[in-house]
Amino acid sequence: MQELPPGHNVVVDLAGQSVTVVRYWSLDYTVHDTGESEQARADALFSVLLDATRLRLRADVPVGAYLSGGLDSSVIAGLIARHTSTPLETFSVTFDEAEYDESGFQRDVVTHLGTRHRSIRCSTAEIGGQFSDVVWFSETPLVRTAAAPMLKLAGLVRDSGYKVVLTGEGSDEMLGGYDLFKEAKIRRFWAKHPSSKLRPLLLKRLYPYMKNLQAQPEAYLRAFFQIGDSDLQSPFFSHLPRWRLTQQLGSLFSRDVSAQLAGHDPLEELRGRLPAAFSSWDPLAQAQYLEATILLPGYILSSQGDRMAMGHSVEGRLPFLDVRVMELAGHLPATVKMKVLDEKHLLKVASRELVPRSVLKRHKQPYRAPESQSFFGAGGTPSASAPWVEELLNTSALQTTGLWDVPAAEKLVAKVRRGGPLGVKDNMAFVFLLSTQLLTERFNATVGGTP
Amino acid sequence: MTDIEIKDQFNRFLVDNFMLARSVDIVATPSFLEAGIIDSTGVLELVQFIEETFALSVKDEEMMPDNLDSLANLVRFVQTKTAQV
Repeated sequence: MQELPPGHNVVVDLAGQSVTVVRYWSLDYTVHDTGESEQARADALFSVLLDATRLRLRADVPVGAYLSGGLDSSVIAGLIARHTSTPLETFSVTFDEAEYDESGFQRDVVTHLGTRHRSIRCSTAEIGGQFSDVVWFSETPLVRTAAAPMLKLAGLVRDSGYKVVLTGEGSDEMLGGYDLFKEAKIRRFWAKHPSSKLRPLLLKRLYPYMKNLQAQPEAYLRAFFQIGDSDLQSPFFSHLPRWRLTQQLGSLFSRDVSAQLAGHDPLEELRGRLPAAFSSWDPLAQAQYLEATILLPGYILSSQGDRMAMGHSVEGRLPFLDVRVMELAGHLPATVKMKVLDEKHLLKVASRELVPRSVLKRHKQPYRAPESQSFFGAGGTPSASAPWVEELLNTSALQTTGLWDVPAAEKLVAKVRRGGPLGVKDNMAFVFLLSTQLLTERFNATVGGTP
Repeated sequence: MTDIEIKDQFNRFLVDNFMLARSVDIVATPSFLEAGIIDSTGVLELVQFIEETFALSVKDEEMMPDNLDSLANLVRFVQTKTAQV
């Protein structure tokens, strides 16, 4: 089975028995420096974004909007509420834990724009409870649980009588929003003066919500983000720390799977697919291209976006991924997108009148949800909402799929059950293990050895 | 506690808790950081383990690779700290 990549079409010639895949469009981040003022650029962005939004309101059913409390969905809601005649209903998800919850900002936007608003609370246990369906609809292994609240949100939309929502997805990739972009900028800045005491501290300022990183002694911070000369030359500089982390999940694989993967170098493969102009783009544009062509279509728009929405037959529409918005954004100089360390700078200028000050000024919070803790209660017993965890993770179930180094997988499960502090890597590994086990169970797939 | 006993305790802790520790020979690993065994949460877990297991208190300025980044460094660190108590 193969997926048709974004921006491609496939021609199936039944007579000639041939299948041809052709690329008809690709992202281009070549800067067109028009010398315009910041305000002129912001006005241009505003007007194309407004038109992209208006176009997506055309429907013979009412159209609503997701509202996360972040800048992007607030901008879309603002454009609809202030610049169209559509009566707007907005939808959001809230969490019990302050570190994930954004309901304060959601209320600010609702009050500011006067939208009719509905929200749904997603408890930690419910994430466990939804997860089997999440895997069923996403049809792929996952390393995060963040799709689960999105499935619940789509259910709220559907129950409210809506079939179509506009969302803010794509803005971070097109206009330069992700923390990863800032992290890469800081790492490059630091690499110029590797002995600087202050430069690595910028990394702590970048991730105020990561408790573990905040507690890190300087010597370790230095070691984690240490940059080698070869890294600086790599086209994947921005993503190397993250990809190296994810690659370590391979230590969970069985001998057979590891042997099959042995000759496979995904980075080399990717290098061969980069556009010819890639090396001439600035580092921010390079990082944006990697996000927009890998994580965006593969995870954000599919597993977490479209497939969760479609789980409740809801259609998501994305103004930031209008081709005109992408082309305008792609040609912007890096300093307009990220001014020093101010992310999505131009979008903030363009939307000053649309969104409340609190949202313009807030520290960007990535959308996340409680991870491994969603599946176990006190004492490491499976959460009542996800009793199936036990039978999917016992020794014989782990052996049956043939995918895992079973002792390694069991140690990971035991660690999660103990309920101690878990880092990003352990959480990803556990969610990957569990979602893969669910996938084989729900689709009755026979993987690996046992036929 | 002898060096060997301390070494055994660390070995078991690392293998039980850190994914990559299982696939390498811990004793022969010169740097946990370079081998990718310890990440930003891992170093905090390791410190917590030291404090609970050996009844020691690890100061912020002691949380550095010289003390924590290999089995040999860990044994030396624990022995030195224990001698001070």
